[in-house]
Amino acid sequence: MSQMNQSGFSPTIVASQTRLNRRTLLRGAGLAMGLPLLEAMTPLSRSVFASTPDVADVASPVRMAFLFVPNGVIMPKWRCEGSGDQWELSPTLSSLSPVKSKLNVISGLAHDNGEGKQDGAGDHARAAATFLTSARPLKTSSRVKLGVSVDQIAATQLSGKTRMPSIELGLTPSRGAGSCDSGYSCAYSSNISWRSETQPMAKETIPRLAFERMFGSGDAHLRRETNLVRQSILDVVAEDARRLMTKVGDTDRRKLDEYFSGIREVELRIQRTEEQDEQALPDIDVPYGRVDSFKEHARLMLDLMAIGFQTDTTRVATFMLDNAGGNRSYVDVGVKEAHHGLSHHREQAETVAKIEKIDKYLVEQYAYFLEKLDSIKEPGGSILDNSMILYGSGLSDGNRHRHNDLPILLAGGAGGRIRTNRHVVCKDDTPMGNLFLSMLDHMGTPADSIGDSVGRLVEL
Amino acid sequence: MIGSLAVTRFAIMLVFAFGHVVGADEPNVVLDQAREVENRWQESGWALLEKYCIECHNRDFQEAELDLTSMQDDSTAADNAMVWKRVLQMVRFGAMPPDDAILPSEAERRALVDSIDRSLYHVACDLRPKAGRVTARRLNRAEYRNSIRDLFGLDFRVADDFPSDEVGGGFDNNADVLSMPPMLLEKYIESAEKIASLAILDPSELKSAEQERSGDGIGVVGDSKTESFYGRILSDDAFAWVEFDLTQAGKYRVRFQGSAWNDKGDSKAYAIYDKQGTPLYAGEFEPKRGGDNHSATFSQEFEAGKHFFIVAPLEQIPKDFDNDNPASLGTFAKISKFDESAIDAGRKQFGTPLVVDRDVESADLGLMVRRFEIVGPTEFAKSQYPPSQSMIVRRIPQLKDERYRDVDDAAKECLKPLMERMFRGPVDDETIGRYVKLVEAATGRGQSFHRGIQIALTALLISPRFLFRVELPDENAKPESEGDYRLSSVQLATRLSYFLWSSTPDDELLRVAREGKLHNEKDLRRQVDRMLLDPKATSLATEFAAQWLGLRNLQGIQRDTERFPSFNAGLLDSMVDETEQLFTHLLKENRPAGELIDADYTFINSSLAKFYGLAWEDQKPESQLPDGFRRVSLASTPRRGVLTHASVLTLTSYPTRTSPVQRGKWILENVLGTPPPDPPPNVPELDATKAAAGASIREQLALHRENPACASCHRVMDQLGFGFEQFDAIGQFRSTENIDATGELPGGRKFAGGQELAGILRSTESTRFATTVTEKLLGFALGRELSPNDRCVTDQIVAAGEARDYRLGDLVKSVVASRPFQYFQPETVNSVTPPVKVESSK
Repeated sequence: MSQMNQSGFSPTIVASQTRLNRRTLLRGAGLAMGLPLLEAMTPLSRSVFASTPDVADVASPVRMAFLFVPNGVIMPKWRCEGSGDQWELSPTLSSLSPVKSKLNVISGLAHDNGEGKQDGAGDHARAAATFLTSARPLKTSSRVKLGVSVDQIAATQLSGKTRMPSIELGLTPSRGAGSCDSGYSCAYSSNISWRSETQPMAKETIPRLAFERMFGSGDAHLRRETNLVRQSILDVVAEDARRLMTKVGDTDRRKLDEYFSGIREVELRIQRTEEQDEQALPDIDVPYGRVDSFKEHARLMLDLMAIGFQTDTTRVATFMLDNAGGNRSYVDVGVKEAHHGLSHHREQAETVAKIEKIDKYLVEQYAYFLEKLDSIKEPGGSILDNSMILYGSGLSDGNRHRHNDLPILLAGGAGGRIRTNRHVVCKDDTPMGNLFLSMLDHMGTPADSIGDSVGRLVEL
Repeated sequence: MIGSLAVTRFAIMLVFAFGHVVGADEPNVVLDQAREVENRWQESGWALLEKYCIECHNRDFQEAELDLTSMQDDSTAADNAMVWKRVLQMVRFGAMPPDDAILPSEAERRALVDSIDRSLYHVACDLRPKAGRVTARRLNRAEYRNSIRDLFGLDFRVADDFPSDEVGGGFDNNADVLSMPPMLLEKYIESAEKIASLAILDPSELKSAEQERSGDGIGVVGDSKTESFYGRILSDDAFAWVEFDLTQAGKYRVRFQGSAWNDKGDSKAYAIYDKQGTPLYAGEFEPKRGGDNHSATFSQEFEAGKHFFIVAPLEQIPKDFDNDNPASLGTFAKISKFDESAIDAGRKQFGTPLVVDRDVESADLGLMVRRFEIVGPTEFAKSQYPPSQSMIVRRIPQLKDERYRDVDDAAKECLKPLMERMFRGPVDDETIGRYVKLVEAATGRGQSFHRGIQIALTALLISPRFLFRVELPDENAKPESEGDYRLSSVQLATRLSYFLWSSTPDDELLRVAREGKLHNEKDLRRQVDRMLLDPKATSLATEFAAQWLGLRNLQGIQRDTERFPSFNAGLLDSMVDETEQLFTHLLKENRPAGELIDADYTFINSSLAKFYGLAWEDQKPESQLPDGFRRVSLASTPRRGVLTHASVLTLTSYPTRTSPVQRGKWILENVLGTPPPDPPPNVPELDATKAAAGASIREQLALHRENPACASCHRVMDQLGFGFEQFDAIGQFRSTENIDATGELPGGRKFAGGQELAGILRSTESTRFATTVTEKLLGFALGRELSPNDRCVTDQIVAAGEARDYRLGDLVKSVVASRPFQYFQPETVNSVTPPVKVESSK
């Protein structure tokens, strides 16, 4: 148990509006946290690295997560020197050096279904649509049709094992209807996770709501918000009463005291309900409402994913750092212009340099996530050791809208099944679907094919 | 332990009460008067008592166990107040001495009464009495409901499920007894949340949706090409159309995107029509290629339902064309092609992927149609918003990129005037700031500004500064010589409106108050006149009169419908209305208060007419009133005044029979202001068997008078009750039975029946009645029980009203002008009344 409490969650939140007190993680009856699963682990004679077929039962479960960034990257700065076990991190990936040993850089993958072919324009929509599905999206702005994504293939098979089959997070809201890219429905640009051909998995962009979905119960979040509001109101009027009481005489004071006591009673009752609630909540401060700063927002979501894995609330997660064709300005790294606009750099050096900064910055968030996962120890090493965390984009060259030679990173050992610290070079235009099939195998949730896959990824 | 301050105060009271002070030094004026009073007592009061009373009430013979010899020394009056008061009551009403004793003359009786009165209540009235203090007063149910009604225009009965208010001194607005149990506070919180959501509508909760049609969501009639980004390029005689389903009526914003598809630089004109071909908008697009386009926007009101927009290329826009009058373009020539089959065909195609025409990238073609977008409703009908909305939300902060700017400034602009109204006085910036923070917290949480204001309003509604009326001296106020303070003009306005309206001051009153004018007698009078004529003044009937006359006790009264077939619960409401309307009439018309006793008219509706047996149709209504009530004459009936109202007659009866005792008591309390003393302890039970079977009420009650312990009070009480014996337990006149309704009041005042009794009371007890009314009015206005100090005030008011026969409006105005109403005595640590030096013994 003690290893749980040292996770040291302290996300830097600018404006925390909650009144949740810090509590040690998972105090209470360990409700629905999957705690028993982990506790049941015997400190072991049996090595976790043993390859038994029912790995999922005794050892730590395998997790998978997929992080998407839009508009491709500057490939010259992304490509790593060397290959196989002898390789170096490229400039864009330099922030990953603390976890290099747990990382695999994969090059040569492609999504053929992202190419224009007969459909004409719409590369961004296609890039996001194919990213986890390898399927070709129907070009329409209304009745969408695509394919199932890798995370959902796993989630469906894992259904029932965890509180939530999967979580889908993002920073930019989805738009269900309308056309976002040249006639493609916005559903394609705003989702990477698809439960079925026609059903995207809507992502949650407000941290508090994601938190409530993962750890709350029923409409507890509504009640919590009502109580929060009531608490703040009671604070204000209690102050009114206090001030009045300093000015009046004894008889009046007694009258006002009745009022004051009544206020206190209501406050105490609210606090008591909150306390009971909080028994079931993990120790993390999540503010209400939207979070303005990109970095805070992203890290909050990554923290939630990490806690979700740690508590075994879920084992499958996807996270879009922006929608396809995303146009955020990354002022944190001194880039005031919009991302998508810059990505059509037409080889101008100044513009390219700005994109490089953005690429590097986004990778830093990935690094943060990996380091966090690596810091949580469990049987098998750390969560990272037991996971497969993929990071990449559906485009390589954002200027020319290339859908091959995709920038893909895969961190984590999947519980010892994947050898890390390699630059895995695949044959040109290897379908990324092959990677997905291999990942599904390691997850214990195999599939025959996905999208345009032709087999497993032997290079892995 | 009694502090020295309390002792000093007590000593001063004794000075005022008895003219003696135990251990006093002599402030000359006070003690001179005190001596004077003492002498007077010996000469007048005691002399008479000795003459007429001591024979039976002395140490050896204590009739009714009353020994009055101690009254010789009137300095003991405070300790024996109960005895003194009882003697006063008995002698005043003529119940004592009993008829079979030697009786004093009228003049002697009056002298004795005055003497006892003075000793009991003597106040140095020329030294202005102190104003007295009122505890912090919680708004009672009626005041809360009315204040909400007048602040927000919301008339919903929030307070109906509040627990009922405690009653003190006969009224439920008595500051000392009104309490705030936690359960009540919770109800206030719930009701505050409800009120806030009704008073302010949050537009962000109203669903404004955005719909968009592009690419394969656009229908085309005629020839067209599709370019790589799914734009539709129309041939000159084709047209495109889209369909939207609007769920709400309202104003919408329509945006059309497209371009002219050529490299020559030629613009392309177009027009947008509705399903009927009526032009809605016309414009021109310049050339743009590829994924780019221009856009045009227009706003319009639409009903809910399906709407079609057609866009077609135009040769050219006519000269002098203005989009303010698009109809000038004329109906769309090809509208006949937009028939049901075209619509059907188009609908079937929606969602089917288009085939991109490869050879259009550089071709020079016509109008390119990219997309239609409709957003709204962007505005809501004014009628949807509650009236309080514009009063409260005076400014909305700017919304930029989904974030508000200047929330605090906008919130302050909204909250400051609201808080000044709700807190009934000036509010400092620091306090406003705390409520502004609630709004900022809400917007910080991602909620709308309106929601933030709702939250702030909820807080205001449970603030003690709203729920309680606390009177504190202003910063710079200085106490008067008695240690009391003059109420500020604004504080006076609050007292005034809760007295006359049981509600918060209105704009006009506040305006006058803020100009300081309420300290000016003429302006004050003018406001009171205005307020009395305002419909809200009916609260004096429903809150004041109803409680004073005990009408609230009618709630839930039941009667045996077999015995009283004409009785039903709805009738009770009408009965109460009748009495309240009579009172309101007297108030508005400034009639003499005594008319309440013997008015030869009343106010009834058709069910009361039936009940009373007054022919409704025949009555020439003297005037028409709301709720179907009319003023009718009682001249030809045996009824006069409130004592013959069904309301009073019913509430002073038992379920199955009348109770002359209760009726007599009612008159003693509410008309004559002399509530009978409680029965002495060990009253022997009235042995029912002593009365003969089938004895009338009168005969049964005769037993009361056989026992001397009972007789002294019951002699008068029962007589009064008998006078109305002809009216049964629900107030109907018993013309068929042979009922003896005769009687005699002390002083030889004989009567037969209610009408005569009412007349006698009016003519002989009008001062008494006026005093009762005034005392009740003052108690209600101040929200506290009256103290001996206040006797002076009521005496003054009654004396002033005598000349005009105690008109009701005049009495009200005098109460408003009185010192206790205009001044107050705060209870703070620093309020030390300048001590009148009183030490040393007698």
